Amino acid sequence: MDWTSDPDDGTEEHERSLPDVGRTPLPALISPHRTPSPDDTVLDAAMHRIAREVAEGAEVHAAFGNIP
Amino acid sequence: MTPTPEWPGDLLDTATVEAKGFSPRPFREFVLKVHQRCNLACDYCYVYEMADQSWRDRPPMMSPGVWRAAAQRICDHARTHGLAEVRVVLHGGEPLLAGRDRLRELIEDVRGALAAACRVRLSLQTNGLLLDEPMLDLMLECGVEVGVSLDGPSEANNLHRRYADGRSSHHAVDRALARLGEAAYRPIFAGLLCTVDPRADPIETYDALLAYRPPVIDFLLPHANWSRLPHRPRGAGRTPYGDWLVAVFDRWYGAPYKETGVRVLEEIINLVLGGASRCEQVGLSPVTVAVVESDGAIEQVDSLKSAYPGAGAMGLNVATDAFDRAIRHPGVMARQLGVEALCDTCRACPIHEICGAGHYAHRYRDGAGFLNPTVYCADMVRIIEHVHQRVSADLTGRMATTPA
Repeated sequence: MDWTSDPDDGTEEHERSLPDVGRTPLPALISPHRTPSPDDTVLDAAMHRIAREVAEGAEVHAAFGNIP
Repeated sequence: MTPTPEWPGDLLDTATVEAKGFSPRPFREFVLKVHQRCNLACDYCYVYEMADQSWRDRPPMMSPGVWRAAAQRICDHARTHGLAEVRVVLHGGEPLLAGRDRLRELIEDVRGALAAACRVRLSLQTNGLLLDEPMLDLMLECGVEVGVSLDGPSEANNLHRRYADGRSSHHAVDRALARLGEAAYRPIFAGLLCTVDPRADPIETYDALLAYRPPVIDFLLPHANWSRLPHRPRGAGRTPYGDWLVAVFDRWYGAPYKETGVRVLEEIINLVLGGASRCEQVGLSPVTVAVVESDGAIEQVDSLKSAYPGAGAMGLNVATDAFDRAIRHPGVMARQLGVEALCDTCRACPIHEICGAGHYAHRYRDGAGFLNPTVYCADMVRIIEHVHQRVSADLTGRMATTPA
């Protein structure tokens, strides 16, 4: 079985740190407020996910090779 | 002879770790081993075919007393930590062997105990053999999501997933998935779980699974470690598992629209984009899963049964112990330390934040423990570098055409 891991701590009251988007331009490519479409590609969906996670307070960092 | 100390059980000083400021995360996912037996005899099963054989000494079925105690402990844990939601997974063995009446009682007891504490998301992982309409009606009525294990088309599935007498299980599972795919039951279709075998054609496997229109597919590497090496077919090259996942990635990623989710590949993409993982196969996110065996024992993730006898045991039981005792166990804490739980070889690797040393169970070596790269290290590098290259190329193209 492939169990989940949890980047957030699970409490609704958790005070999240401010998003650090300065190191990557990725969230600018797609709006978290855009409605996903059934015609979205895998990459569209992935971009939407990370944009949404950033909007919700996740810290994003250039994890590998400072993409792009 | 004194056994060699192993990491983390003998070597991780949890008091020192906490003194440095680490705070254990509460459990968010609780796996209830509802039934310890199975009506299949898959030859790769970590419960029956690998190092730990503790299922032999446990009750075949979880009793009402055990699941009620577990539900109360989960409730207490959620309240203590202010959790908004927990996930409860009905698991086995084969959980449907418990039968509808007992499952209904268990589900109602769990929901009842947790109602005042937090939201609860219930799911069940089954081999599908007993997933008939009355069972699906129960799951639908109780809001339990259903995941089914299947390794692809008949020929691929028959490599491992057979009855004890050798018969193929594919036809029965195919019928169950046809039912689960009907409009009435689709809302509770959680996804498919497929264990990779490089001998199976990756595209045929993906397409066969996709035909059931699952919301997500989980591809797992078969459990192995440095002391029990993975099967590598003769002539398959240095990275047969990585090559297999690359073929699936190209088929899935290259489709004109997203046909389904492929969890491990989606998590790698999200990590490549700088995000965090939500599955234990990759990344450095804390693992917050506890298992309750049919006798009430609180254990670490069940895949550790592939490493050595008693690998998941913590000496705790829902009858006497709170889950808070388990979150300070070295084995649990090691899954939450991020990069601090990686060996020097992994820390020096440029993709360690994405790979995260792979699946924890695959890092084990007799006499050393879990402070090693995954035994699938080369395969992980292969798939991660490939995903990175494709995503990076596509994003570069998009950046060039996006107004500043």
